[in-house]
Amino acid sequence: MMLIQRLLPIVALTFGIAFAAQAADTTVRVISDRTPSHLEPLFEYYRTLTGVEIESAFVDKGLIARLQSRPTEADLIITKTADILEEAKQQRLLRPFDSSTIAAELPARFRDADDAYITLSYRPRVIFASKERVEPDSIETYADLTDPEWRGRICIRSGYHNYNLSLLSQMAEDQGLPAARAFIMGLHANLARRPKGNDRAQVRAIYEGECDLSLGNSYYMPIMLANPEQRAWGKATYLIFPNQESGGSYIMRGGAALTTANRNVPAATQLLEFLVSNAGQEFIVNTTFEYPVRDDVEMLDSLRALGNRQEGIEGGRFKANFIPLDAIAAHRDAIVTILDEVDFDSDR
Amino acid sequence: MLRGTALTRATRTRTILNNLSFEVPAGTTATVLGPSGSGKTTLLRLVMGLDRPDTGELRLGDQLLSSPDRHVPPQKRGMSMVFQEFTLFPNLDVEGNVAFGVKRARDAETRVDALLELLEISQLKHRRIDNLSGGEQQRVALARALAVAPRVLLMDEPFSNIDAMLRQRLFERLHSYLRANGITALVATHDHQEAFYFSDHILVLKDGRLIDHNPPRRIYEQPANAWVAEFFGDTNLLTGAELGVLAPGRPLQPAARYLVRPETIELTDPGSGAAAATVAKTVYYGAYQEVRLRLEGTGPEIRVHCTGPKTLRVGEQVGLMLRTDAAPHPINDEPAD
Amino acid sequence: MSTLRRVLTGLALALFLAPALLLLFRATAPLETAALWRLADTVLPGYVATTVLLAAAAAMLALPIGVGGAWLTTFFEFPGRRLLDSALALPLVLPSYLVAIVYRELSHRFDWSPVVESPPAAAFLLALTLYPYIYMLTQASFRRQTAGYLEAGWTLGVGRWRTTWQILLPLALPAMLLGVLLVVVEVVSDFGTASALGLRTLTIAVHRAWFSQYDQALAAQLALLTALLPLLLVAAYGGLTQGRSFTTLTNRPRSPERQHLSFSLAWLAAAACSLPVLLGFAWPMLWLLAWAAEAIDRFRLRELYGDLLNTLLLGIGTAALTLLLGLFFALTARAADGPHWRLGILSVLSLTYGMPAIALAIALLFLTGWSYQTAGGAWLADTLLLVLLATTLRFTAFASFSIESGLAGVSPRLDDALRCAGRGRLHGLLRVLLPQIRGPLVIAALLVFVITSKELTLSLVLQPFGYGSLALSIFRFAEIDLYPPAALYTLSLVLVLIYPVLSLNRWLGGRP
Repeated sequence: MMLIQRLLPIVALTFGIAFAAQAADTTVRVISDRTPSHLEPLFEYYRTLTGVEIESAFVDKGLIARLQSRPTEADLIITKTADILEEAKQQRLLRPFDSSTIAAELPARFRDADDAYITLSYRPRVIFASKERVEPDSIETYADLTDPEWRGRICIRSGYHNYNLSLLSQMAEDQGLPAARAFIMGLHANLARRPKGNDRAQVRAIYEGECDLSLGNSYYMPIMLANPEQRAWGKATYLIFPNQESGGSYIMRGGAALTTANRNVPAATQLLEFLVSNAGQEFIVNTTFEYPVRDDVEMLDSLRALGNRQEGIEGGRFKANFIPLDAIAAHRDAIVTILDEVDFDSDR
Repeated sequence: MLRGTALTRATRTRTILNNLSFEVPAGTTATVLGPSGSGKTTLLRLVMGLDRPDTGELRLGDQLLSSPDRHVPPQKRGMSMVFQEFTLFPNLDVEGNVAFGVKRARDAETRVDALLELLEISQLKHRRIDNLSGGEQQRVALARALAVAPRVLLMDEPFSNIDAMLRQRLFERLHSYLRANGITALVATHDHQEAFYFSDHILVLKDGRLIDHNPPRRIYEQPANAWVAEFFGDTNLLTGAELGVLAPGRPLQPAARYLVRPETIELTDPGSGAAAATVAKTVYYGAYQEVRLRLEGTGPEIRVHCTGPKTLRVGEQVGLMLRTDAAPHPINDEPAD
Repeated sequence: MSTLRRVLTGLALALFLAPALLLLFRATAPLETAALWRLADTVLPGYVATTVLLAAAAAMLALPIGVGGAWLTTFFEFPGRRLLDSALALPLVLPSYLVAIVYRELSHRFDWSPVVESPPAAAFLLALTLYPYIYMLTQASFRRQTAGYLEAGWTLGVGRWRTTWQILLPLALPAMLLGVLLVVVEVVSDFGTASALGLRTLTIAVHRAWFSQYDQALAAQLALLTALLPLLLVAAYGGLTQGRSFTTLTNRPRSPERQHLSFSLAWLAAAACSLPVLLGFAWPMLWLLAWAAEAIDRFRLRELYGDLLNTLLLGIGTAALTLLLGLFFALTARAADGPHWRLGILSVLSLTYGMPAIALAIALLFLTGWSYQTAGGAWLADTLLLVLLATTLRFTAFASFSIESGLAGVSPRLDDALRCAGRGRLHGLLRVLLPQIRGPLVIAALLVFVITSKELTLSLVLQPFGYGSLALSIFRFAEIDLYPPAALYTLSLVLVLIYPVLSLNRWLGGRP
């Protein structure tokens, strides 16, 4: 009996949440593939600020499938990979936002042409290099990684991971598909080992001496430096922003968009506006170590230090290549085909 | 000679076998008889060597098989056993089961065939076990136990699932097979008819104690006590004084009690015989008619089994006397229940 | 069988079949096979080979560990035997992928710890965490028939070894095969371990097609291909045992007199039984404990309680539902004339269990999509019920199988007797039939509870808003290399599962 009494509130909560959510105007539902701990403090802050309750589902896999099957389940999507927003837009799963604030405050390169989605933050996909074994300025572009000098010295995660697919698609748009194909083949030829693990595992492999260079997102450097167990990995490497002389580094974008749900569009739009406000941006930058979409947001020291061994990089500021997401998405299938042909993830 | 001396086996909570001593001469068959729970199966398992006695000894001829500090493992005893639940191997067919224990493969085929023939299951040779009826399984189990040519064969309720007509035929065949091969057999059963047919000796067990150990006729006619008497058939337990009425002139102790089997009392015409009685109840059993009679005066009810064409009716007057060749057996204890 | 029953069974089977049918539709309807053929020309053969090799190697490694452990603990007496008897089941409480991560981490930290990021090593790790299925099922089979058949062998002058070899092992074969089947299904549908160790399996390919290429047709085609391997095994199992399992869970167990081993052999046996427990449980647990100790004061326990309650709710709910459905299916198969219903039910349930969890999850998403437009449907999807539906569909096979094997040991004459008893059917079912198969019911409930509590993929895709569970949190922390909190949550999961796993082992052994 005691147990039942204790469980009842939980059951009621589980089953009652939907009614509560649909009834209350002051609730916004957010679906996201981000790590919960990156967003929850922001949501909590927003609630104390505005009184608006945010309900969230963190769907790390199949976010697109969920959007397709239940387009109106959430009011707002927040993603770490804005590429899927372009996919969602093409499938008519997004509602263009109508906000003078965003139009005024967010530069056009961070907005979709049709205002279907926005970029919330971005991080370049950079080169991690061994402090001991790679001379500064010996690498300047992604294509430099294909130089035979680096044969057997490069580590990378699976070529089919969203980050790599996005990077290679950007390269295909930027330099043409043949160049991307040559890069994939050259990179594959230079790999030290079978692609496996996440971005941090590649840096660790540099630390452990298995390779000298790797590709990864920039935020992993501050994250590793903040973690006592991983600090040594980060310290063994330095970061190179590639393509600074030629169009800029390729970037991964975090983004947000409204769904087609019409339950609470004003409140959802308001949250979207908050996300690009100075306060919202600070939250995002401080938890994710990504780059803000506003210039007036204070950069963390750990970000300022990025690229400090590279000539021409000051205070972590680098040149990014803002290729429109629809152009990137168009190359995705072709890139996968090349990866399959090369059998990119195979043992060397 | 299979000989048990002062065998005892107990669990934490109760004594299953209590100080049991017995002898089964080589080549003879003994039946262990008793109600369920009397320790029959335990005795067989102990002889087989599946269980060990807490005290006492078990010998086969000169060989010490079991004692508190010596134990010949079951597979080295030259015995075999038919389990009450058969315990046939379900992954082998009939032939595979019967041949399982046969040492020399060359002998297996002919011996298996002969035994299947003997037990009338030749047609089942290649059948799977789970397709057989209970009676068929029982015969396969019997064939399997015989196939290893044991010195001693132990059987736990070996005919319980076989119907009456076939049972009679199998009794005879098995009996002569055991005799012909000089096999000593110990059979546990609760059916005294089966015991009579089979046994040279009967061991009567009750609550783990051996309460009688004799040839069948002796057990029936001169049982150790009233319980045994009643276990083996209908009884009249009469005092010497009461019996004297039916058998005048016999030297009887008036206060002693005697076992008088119903078939040893003769009914005569009214007015003749030794005593007069009234029919109180009759039951027809086919082979005989059981008649319950009340003696003139206040005597006890007496059961008589009578054969022949005559039908008695309740209330009829008859005469009554003990057959002259009957020997009433004195019983010393109180009747059970 | 009554018409009502036929219709109800048909409907229930249709519900179970729906995800597979949708998958089939998605795979074939667009007639887009170009991507599949291109894959077949390039990387697909490698994916298939890795999957088959991984499953076969894991099964072949788990088989001797499981059967060996069951054999030693059933037949022999050696130091620590009673303890090891239970301990051998323990690796089942840990999610496989977490054990893989622990070993991966250790290989980086210590030179003496072997590298595990290769298919053979992965197969070994999977075997280490999955062998308890084989161990428990084989031991149950041994327990329920050993004593009688060993004794029967002795009475025929045949020693322990020959009876073991010719009778006991063949009799335990169906149990071993069933264990191997479970191991193979788990390996084939595993995502966590393969992704942690960087292996290229078919399930990984399904994930890739869905989440990196957004190619539903290709993903469905690959999912069907993946489901083929477990299905073939189910068919092989059905063919080999021909629907007969020599043991039924209702057999009364009796332990044989265990053989005492010589001093050195006894310690060897103890070592052999300790090794899988040490490698599959104790050693990873030690590290998880060490990591958890770092996290204990850094994390908010309140969130952990919420996850814990959700895990319990889902586990208990799934166990109850699968039990009801399993009972319904098993009784239908029992009442039917001929084997057709039984075979039909078996194949539909195994198909739903055999397809990769991710395929089932996505199929359910699309199947329930239309209903989200309705108020009631939205309510359903917003509660735990959709996850519950998914876990129920996936794991009813366990309940049905266990209950059916239990009912096989109950005489059909009992049904007739109940029909003549004059009380309602339900009364007979509740008062007479169910108590007879109490063991199989408890076993099914425990097994489903354990497996549901560790379940990851279905919750990940279908979770309602505001939901969290232990398995989800463990996965999320592990994914971003935050091992201390992952370890803390894993320990909570271990606490939830350790008693069910141990009692599962006891019930299977027939010693409640």
